Formats: sequence, structure tokens, C-alpha cells
Amino acid sequence: MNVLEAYKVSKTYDGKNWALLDFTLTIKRGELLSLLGRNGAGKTTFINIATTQLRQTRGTVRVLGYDVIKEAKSVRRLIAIVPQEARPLSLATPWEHVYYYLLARGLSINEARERTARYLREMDLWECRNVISSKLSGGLRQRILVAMAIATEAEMIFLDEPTIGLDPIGKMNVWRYIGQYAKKGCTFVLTTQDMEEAEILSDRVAVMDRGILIAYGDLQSLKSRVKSKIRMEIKGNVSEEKLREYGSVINLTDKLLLYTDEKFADEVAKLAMTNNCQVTISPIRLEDVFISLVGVGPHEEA
Amino acid sequence: MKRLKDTLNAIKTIYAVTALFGIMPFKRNPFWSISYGITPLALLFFINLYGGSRYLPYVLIGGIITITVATTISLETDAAFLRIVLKLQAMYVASPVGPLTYSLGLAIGDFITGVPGILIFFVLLHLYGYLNLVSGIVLLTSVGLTWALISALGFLISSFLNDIKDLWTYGPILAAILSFLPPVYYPIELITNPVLRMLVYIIPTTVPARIAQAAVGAASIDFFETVLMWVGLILYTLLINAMLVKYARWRQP
Repeated sequence: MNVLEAYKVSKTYDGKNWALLDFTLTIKRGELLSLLGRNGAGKTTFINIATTQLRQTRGTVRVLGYDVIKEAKSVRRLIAIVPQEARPLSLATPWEHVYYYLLARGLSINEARERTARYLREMDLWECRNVISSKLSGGLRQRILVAMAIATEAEMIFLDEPTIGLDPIGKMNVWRYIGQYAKKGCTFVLTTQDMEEAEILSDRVAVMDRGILIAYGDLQSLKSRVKSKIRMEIKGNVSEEKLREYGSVINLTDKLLLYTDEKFADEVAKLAMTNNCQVTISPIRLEDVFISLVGVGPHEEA
Repeated sequence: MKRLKDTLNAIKTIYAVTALFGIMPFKRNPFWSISYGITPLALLFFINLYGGSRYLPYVLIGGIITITVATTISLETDAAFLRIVLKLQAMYVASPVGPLTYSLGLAIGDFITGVPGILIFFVLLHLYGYLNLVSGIVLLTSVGLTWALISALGFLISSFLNDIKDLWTYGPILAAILSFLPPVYYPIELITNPVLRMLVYIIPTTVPARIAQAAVGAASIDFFETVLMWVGLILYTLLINAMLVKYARWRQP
């Protein structure tokens, strides 16, 4: 069953430039979908439309069977969101954030209390449950917001760049919790610029650029769109022209990225080592799919 | 039965928003209440110093109204801060919480901070012999309606703010217009121009101030004018709250 159906959704803020254009997407129950794209790709715009915070210019979005414009109240009962760059209140504790949020959403006092305790324990926030958030690290503060959303046990949870600004350990912790709850059958929509995050967590990925949906599918099908199967990073003095004989080359200033086939890998490796270059070989990653689809890296401007 | 259940749920939501955004922060930093009371207390000192006790009831009423205005106008800043900077309002939009219960919760939360200062001025009114049961009830009612009116106005304005630098721009301007321009701290008779004396009733704090001044015996208003002002205040409050429900941007356009 599709829990989200977006059909030709478009949004312009100024009447001229389209933040989102004819965006069409479906999400199945229980899956974790990542919206992948650079800044300005339209990810947050789509999330805000789907979570009834922003009105689209045209097109329709149905979440869990309800239209986000005409039946917004019905949608809001069934979803939760962690907005991009959201922060907890500095003078409130993790317990207070989660407990009062659940209470506001309509849970009974006992239910809210029980669920707050359970999710704070599961998300390793129990020890600091009574510490005001201004005294907690950035990772713990972000975890409070994720706990607020997950504790709702909503049918669909939207996470808008939930690990932005976190260190690698903080990111891994948040991934662990998201992965854990995704396995319990909740549908997640995640926006991210982090390829590793999308690759680790997602069942399917939607690649966006400049408001347009470029590609959409599971990781295998997206990777199969890239002709070359091998990625080689070459650092050192080697001719870019020469490398182009073996596949497509991207100059990343400090290194060259070559996409090629397995049959050329040995030859290229020998060539690089003859020139005293450092070589790394790996299979195609999601980042490479993104580069091949969008033309530049996820953090670069075209 | 369903309506009763919905009402109880709404009360619970209002309490939850009040607790998280008002009670908990105030519990940890009660000095905010001093910041709301310090200007009215300073005015009390200086006006008494220069004007003697002649204007005392006006200053005491003015203090109550000013603190009420300050705590309710701060809702404009706080609501916009929660939406634009902390992005927490988005979590409430994407939930069963509606704009009216959310704004009421924030308004009560902000008002709690002003209660200590308002109590001080009520005590002073009592000590100076201006307060009895009737005047107390009238004062509380007019303060309550002022709170309902100005907090709705504050939330409505905040929903249209989009830039962080706007957050602290409009609050002080509104507070000055509502507290010091109209006859809150002075008798309306000091406005000699008859046109201005009529126009000043457009400012929402004029009527509650006049009602409060009359309740403590500082102003003289006939029965007809009293009824007209009460009806006007209630209608004004209902109008602003209706505008809040209809026009406040819970969903951005």
C-alpha cells in the first residue's frame, strides 16, 4: 500500500523560480526513503508540503490516504517530523521535551509517561533525562528531537537532515535508532546530503536536483544506471588525458576520480603505480551514482 | 460526549504547551519576571517623585496594564523564535495540535512570567486603599480581556514574520504604542483635542485602562459609557481572536 502519493507537485516562492517542479513520487508502507540532493534541490520544500506546513503551487500530495490541503487535520494526526536544523529548548530537559510533546499530541498522562521513559531508555537519553538541554552535547540535543518524533509512534515520520552538524559517532547513533524503528514497520522519509547516510539507511532513494526528481529506486537499480562498475581514486602525477582512455574522469583538485570497468582496473592501477601515484579501488557507490546523474558532487555547485 | 472529550483534550494540549514553553523555563529562570516589572516600578517611583500622589492610581493601573502588555507582546517574539530559529513550531504543525490551542498555551506560558509583577501592583493598590472586591473583579476581568486581545494580536503578527532580525523589532514598538501612547498612565482628560480623544480608543489598551481607572475611582464614567466600553472590549477581543483563527499562518502559503 502506498502511504505517500505525490503527483506533479510544484512550488514557486516568487512566481518565477521553481523550488519543486512536477515532482511525482510514491512511498510504500514500512519503507525508508531518502531524498538525496544538494542545497536547493527541493528536499525540504517537498517535506514541508507533505507535512502540511507549506502549500504547494500545484499538484497533489496524499499522505496515508488523505489530501494534505483538504484533509490536513487527518494527515497531522498520523505524522511526525524532525525539521531541518531544529533545536531543543535550552532550559528544558529531554524528559520534558518528550513528555509534554506527547501530552500535547493527545496521549493520556500515564501513556505519555510510560512512552517517554521507554524511548528515553532506548535512545540512551535516560541518564541525562533531567539535564537541561543547554548542558548537553550537540549529538544528545539532536537525539532529543529524534526521540520526540519517534516516541509519537506515528505511522509516518519525516526526518529533515537529522544528522546535520553531528560528528561521526553522533551520526552513527542516530542512524542506529532510525534503523531500529524502521525495522518495526514505521515509514520514514529522510532528507540528506550525506551519501553514506542514504546508503546505510534507505530501502529506496530519490535523487533530486534543482527541484526536479532525477532518479528514483532502490540502491541496486540506481547503481545499475551507471555504466562503469569500478571507482578508482588516483592521487599523484598522472595524465588526466591518458586516464580518459579507460573511462570518465572527474578532477577533484587533489585527486582524479576514474569510473571504469573491471577489465581496465589492473591496467590503470599499474599505470598509476608506475607514476608513483596512490590508488584506491572500490565498487561504485551512491555518491558516484549521484555524480553521474547530477554532474557534480553532492556538496559542489554546478 | 465527543465535544466534552475534545474540550478536555484541548485543555490538556494547552497545559502541555504552557508547561514546556512557559512553566519549565520560568522555573529555571524566574528573573524574567523582574525584567517585566522593573520599568513600571521605576515609573511608579519617578511619577510619585515628581507628581506626588495625584497620579498614583493611574500609575498603579498603568503598571498592571504595562506588564500584561509586555508579557503578551513577548508572545510575538517567542512564537516567531520557536518557528524561525528553533524550528519547533513545525513539530506542532505536523501534529494534531491546532493554532488556537498552541497560541493559547504560549500566551499563558508567557503571562505566567508577568504574574509576580502584576501581583505586586495589586498589593500596592490594596495598600493604598484602591482595591475592594468589586474593583478587584473588574480589574481582573479587564486584565484578562487585555491578555486575550493582545496575545492573539501578538501571535497573528508573529506568523507573518520571516526574518530573525524582525523578531526584536516590532515587540518594543508595539509595547510602547500600547502602554505609553494611550491614556494608560494618565487621565484621558489630558488629551484636549476632541478628535485625538476619540481616535485614542482605537488603541486596544485604552478601554481596559479606562475601565480599570474607573473601578478604582480614578476616573468617572457614566453607566452608558461603561456598558459601551465593556461591549467594545469584548467585541474587539473576539474580533482579534477570530482573525487569529482565520489569518494566522499555521501553514505557510
